[in-house]
Amino acid sequence: MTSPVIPQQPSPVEERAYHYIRSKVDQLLDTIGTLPLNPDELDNEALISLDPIGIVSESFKHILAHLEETNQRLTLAHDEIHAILNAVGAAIMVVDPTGRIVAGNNKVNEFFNPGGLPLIGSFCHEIVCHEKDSPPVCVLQNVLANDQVEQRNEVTLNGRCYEVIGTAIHDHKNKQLTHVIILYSDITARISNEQALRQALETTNETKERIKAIFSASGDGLLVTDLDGRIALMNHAAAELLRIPLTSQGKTLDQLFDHRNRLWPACLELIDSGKTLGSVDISIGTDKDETVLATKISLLPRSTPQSGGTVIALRDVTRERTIERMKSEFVSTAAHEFRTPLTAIIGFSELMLNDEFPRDEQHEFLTMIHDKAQSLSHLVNNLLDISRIEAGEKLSLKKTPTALQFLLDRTIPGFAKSSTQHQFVTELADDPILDVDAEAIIQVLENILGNAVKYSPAGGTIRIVCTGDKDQCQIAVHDQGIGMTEEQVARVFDKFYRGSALHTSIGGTGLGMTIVKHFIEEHGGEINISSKPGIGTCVCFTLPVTRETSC
Amino acid sequence: MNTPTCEFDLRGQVCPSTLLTALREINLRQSELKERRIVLIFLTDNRHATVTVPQAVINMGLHCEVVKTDNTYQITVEGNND
Repeated sequence: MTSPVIPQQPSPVEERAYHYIRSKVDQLLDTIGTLPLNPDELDNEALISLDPIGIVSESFKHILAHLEETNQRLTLAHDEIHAILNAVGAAIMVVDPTGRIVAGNNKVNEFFNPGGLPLIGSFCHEIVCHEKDSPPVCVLQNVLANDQVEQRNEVTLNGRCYEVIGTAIHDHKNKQLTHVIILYSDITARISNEQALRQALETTNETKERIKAIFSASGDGLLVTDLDGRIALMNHAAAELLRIPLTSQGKTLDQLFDHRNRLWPACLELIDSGKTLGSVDISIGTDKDETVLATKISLLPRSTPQSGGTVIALRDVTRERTIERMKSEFVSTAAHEFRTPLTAIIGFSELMLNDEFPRDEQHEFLTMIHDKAQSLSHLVNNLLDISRIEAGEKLSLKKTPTALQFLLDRTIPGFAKSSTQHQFVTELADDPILDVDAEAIIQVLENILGNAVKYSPAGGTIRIVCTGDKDQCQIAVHDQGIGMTEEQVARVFDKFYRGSALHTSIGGTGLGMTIVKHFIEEHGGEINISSKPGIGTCVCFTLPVTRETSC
Repeated sequence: MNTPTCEFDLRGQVCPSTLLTALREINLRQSELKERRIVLIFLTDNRHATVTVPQAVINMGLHCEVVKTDNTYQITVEGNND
């Protein structure tokens, strides 16, 4: 039989040792933050076997390792933040609620502390604003008062302009504001650039408006296209000349005009050629209402391959081109008109110089030469008259009372003799006495009767009808010739215009009717023409009547 | 992939015994915990331990989470994400 094991009481030395261990364990546990060991829950034997000092020491080792690691991280973070702060273009400083600077980057010294005062520990107003009592704009005070981000634009400090942002930093535990970060961005150059930009924009807008006004006011058509021929800008005149609505802006020239229109091909040719200026005449409308537009095309300078375009100036040159054409025709016709009588004069004179002819034949040849010379003289007179009319010279009319019958007797027989196909009929109610320059009116009658004969190649009756009252006499010359269209009638008084220019067998310079109209109007009279193709023409004019008797 | 867990039932123990036992297991598996190769779960009914254990664990740079189910607290200890 074994006797029960009675726990051995610890000796006083052991008791002191246990007590010491317990007190150190409690001290360590207190450091960790827990309760002291209760001897009732953990007896001495359990205490030794659990090894609390070893456990807590090991834990402390891990806690210290972690703290060291954390410290390394913090150091690295601190270095990183320092590097970032100094890399930033703005001045950044951290101040406590009293305004004392606890941190700041290089820019703070650069912007506000060129004298190199100690930054850390100084008050921000000593470094930045130099206003001890009431700084003009204190971002710090506003952040402290409102506890929120404070931003001020265009704060002037030391003659420069800053954007200032203040941000509060709070304690994590009690949420109290502990520091304020204040950031100063120097925006002096930006403000200056913005002002310059605004000014440039205003100038650009003014110029744009000016160009727009000039564009709109221009009598010439103006058109701006991009490189695809898309209309970017167009004035009223251009829309009218091209016969397209103003709303056509945005459409391409290709869309607006068919292939016959040479405007866009000319633009393309210019773009491809590398030249800067070009011109082309284009036709708009059909044959009936065709207008000719002279276009001048300029290339817009290109700042990029996609930019650029064309500026097209348009001018209606229908009349100029018609006159040019008529002048050209006139030169050809006048040469022909001169050559025909000259050929006769040269031919007959050579005959007479080379051979002997009987007197009657000589007379016949000389008469022919004389008639042709007269014809040339008449042609030259016409040219001189038209030259005077062109120059705006007034005719010096030698008006004398002249009987109409006298004037008709001077003109009709010549035509009657030379043109046997025509019958000349005069219908005069009485024989009015006209107040006219007889030579000028004879020229008028010769022109009108000459046309009546020329343009009735098949012959017929030419009637000269005279009506009138005590003030004026109306003379109408009717023929049964080829007549004219309305368009031809409308242009019959134009210089160099020949209604039947294509009818090459009919000679003439296209000046006769212009001179006739001028002579009639110089006498205070009027002239009108009515005509129908294939029926004939009636030229009707008025002349003043006098009560005096003729000479 | 699920991390293996190791559970310790410390119910019935009082503090600081609970804390010391938990710290011992944590100390033993410190490197596994840091490398997130193991998750330790301690079950306790001692409320004081729900404060002391997490505090020590956080000071070691580990992550700790306490969830209460009925009368038991489940204290989960694992390595931090970073």
